Amino acid sequence: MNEECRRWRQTLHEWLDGDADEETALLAQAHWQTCPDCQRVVAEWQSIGEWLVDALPSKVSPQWERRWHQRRQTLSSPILPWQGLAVSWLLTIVGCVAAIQLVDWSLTSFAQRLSVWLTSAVSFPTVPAEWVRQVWDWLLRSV
Amino acid sequence: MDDAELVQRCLDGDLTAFDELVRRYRDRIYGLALHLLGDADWAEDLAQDAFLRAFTRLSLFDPKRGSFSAWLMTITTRLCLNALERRNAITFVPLEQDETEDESDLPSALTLPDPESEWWAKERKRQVRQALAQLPPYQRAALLLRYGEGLSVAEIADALGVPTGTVKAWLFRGREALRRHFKKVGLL
Repeated sequence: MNEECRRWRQTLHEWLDGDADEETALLAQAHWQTCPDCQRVVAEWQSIGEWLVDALPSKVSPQWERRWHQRRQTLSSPILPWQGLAVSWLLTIVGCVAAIQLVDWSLTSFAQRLSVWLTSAVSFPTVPAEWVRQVWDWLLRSV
Repeated sequence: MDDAELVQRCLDGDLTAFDELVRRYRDRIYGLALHLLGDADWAEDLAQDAFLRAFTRLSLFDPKRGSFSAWLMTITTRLCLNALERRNAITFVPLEQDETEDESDLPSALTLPDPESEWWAKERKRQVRQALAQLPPYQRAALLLRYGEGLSVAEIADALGVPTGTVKAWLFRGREALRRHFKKVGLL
């Protein structure tokens, strides 16, 4: 294999992928047509491609129709763009409401617990009933 | 009527248009699934799943980005590769079916080939399927989309969600593996 063969064989896979530009493909093909060694290699690759194309086609089974019609019954109509948008908006709104409610419940519960804790932790002095009665009597006498 | 028109009719509420699309592509979609999965029943199920998914997402299809068939192939390939990953079925039993059922294999009365070449053609098909079955799923998918469906490297990269360089490497390795297999069995 000479230098020219090596050069054009490097483009072979690009050419097989359909990715070689037109000019490169034409130059490569011109070389392959004149070089028996390269011609053999290219023919091998072409055969492999043709065999693949030839071996792949398949036909659905006779049961396809029946199975498809059963499954198709579940469909009514495709989801249209506005329907998708409406569903996503609805889900967003429901999510926001749920989050607000959750925060509200958490804060209320927290405040209630704090209040109970403060009441039990700090003992406020209670005013004896006797004091209240005496103050009340004094006020009545003064008036 | 072309595919894009049928899609539009379907979006307008005409479900018979989708039936027409299914009729057009069911063999190709089934064939792709069959060669990716290696099991006829499973392939038929997933091919129908692909059509159902395409139907529900029809509004997402953009004709400016590519053909309907390429979009459908993308859905099918992804479904099959995900299913293979879920089942962890990296290798599978080579396909042996279709040899007697496939009507396209049967010669017409006017062009009867001699028995020897017919045998060779069948044997070659069997070897191609066997060699494909031994490839890793992504290499197999790349070859099927390139040769079976005629997708470009860029379209395959889009379908499989990988860079074009990766697709080229898969195609290269896949072809090399096939060539080695064919040389080993004496086809080349």
